[in-house]
Amino acid sequence: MKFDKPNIEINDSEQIAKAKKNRDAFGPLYEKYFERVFLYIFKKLGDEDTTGDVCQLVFLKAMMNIQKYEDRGVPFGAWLFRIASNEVNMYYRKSSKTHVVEIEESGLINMMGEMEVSGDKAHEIELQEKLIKVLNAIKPEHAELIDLRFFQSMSFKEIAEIYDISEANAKMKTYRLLEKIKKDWF
Amino acid sequence: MREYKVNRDPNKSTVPSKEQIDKHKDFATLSHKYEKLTKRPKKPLYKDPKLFIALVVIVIVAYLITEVIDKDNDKQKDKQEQKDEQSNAETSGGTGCAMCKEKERPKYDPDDIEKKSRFD
Repeated sequence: MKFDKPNIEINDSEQIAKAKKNRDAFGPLYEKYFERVFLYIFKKLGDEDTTGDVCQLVFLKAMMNIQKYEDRGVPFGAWLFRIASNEVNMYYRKSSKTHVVEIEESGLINMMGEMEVSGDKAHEIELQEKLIKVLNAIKPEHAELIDLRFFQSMSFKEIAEIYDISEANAKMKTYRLLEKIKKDWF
Repeated sequence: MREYKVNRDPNKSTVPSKEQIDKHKDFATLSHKYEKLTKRPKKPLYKDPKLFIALVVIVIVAYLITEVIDKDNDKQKDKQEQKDEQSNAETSGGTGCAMCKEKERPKYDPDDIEKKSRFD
């Protein structure tokens, strides 16, 4: 999930400038980012149809607010992910049902590796299940950070761009959170 | 609320395929929604008969409300004036009290008398 390549940025800023004047020029941006934004939302909601609806809403909001977007070093992709994150949170607030989100085992193993926790095969599944319970209980804003880093495989730079914080701050927040999870875990 | 579940099946993907995602991609619908939300209505409000009637009704109701409020205010003013008049009449009604008469007597200044006599 990369959105920081310089050649892409140049094209983006040109396309954004065009889209600000003529909304039909938003089409190429939509084509370019749809899949990434869809997957980002899907990994948070876990339901294809709901994701489709929320994704359309995200692009509609982006289209309506494109005049407000200013290229101050934040890539357009990160701006879209920020809108998507807000929309997903809003959806969760409105909806009362629980959404089951399937995550890859590799993400959990990666997370356990960062926390320097490992065990034998049989014991590992038990540990993972316990970790899932802890993750289901943590605050939504904390869960989002974990989600971006381990289940959406984003770099600290990308996370920093979404939250509009420095890379070092994103790293610090993640590791502090991992420490807290580790405490709750054992 | 979100609940995580681990996918342990290596053959099953946790994310939809490109074809599944493309099914939801529809820029034409998005543009249409955008137009619907942002474009001004083609017909002006006053040219739409239903809206025109609604506007007329709103104006009439607003006029009636202001009329009723004005009338109420006038009535209250009249009552207040009547009360004031009554109280004035009671105070100047000649009760025979020496103190009141003292108050009613016009006060004159000795200087005024001097001025008058000079002119005379």
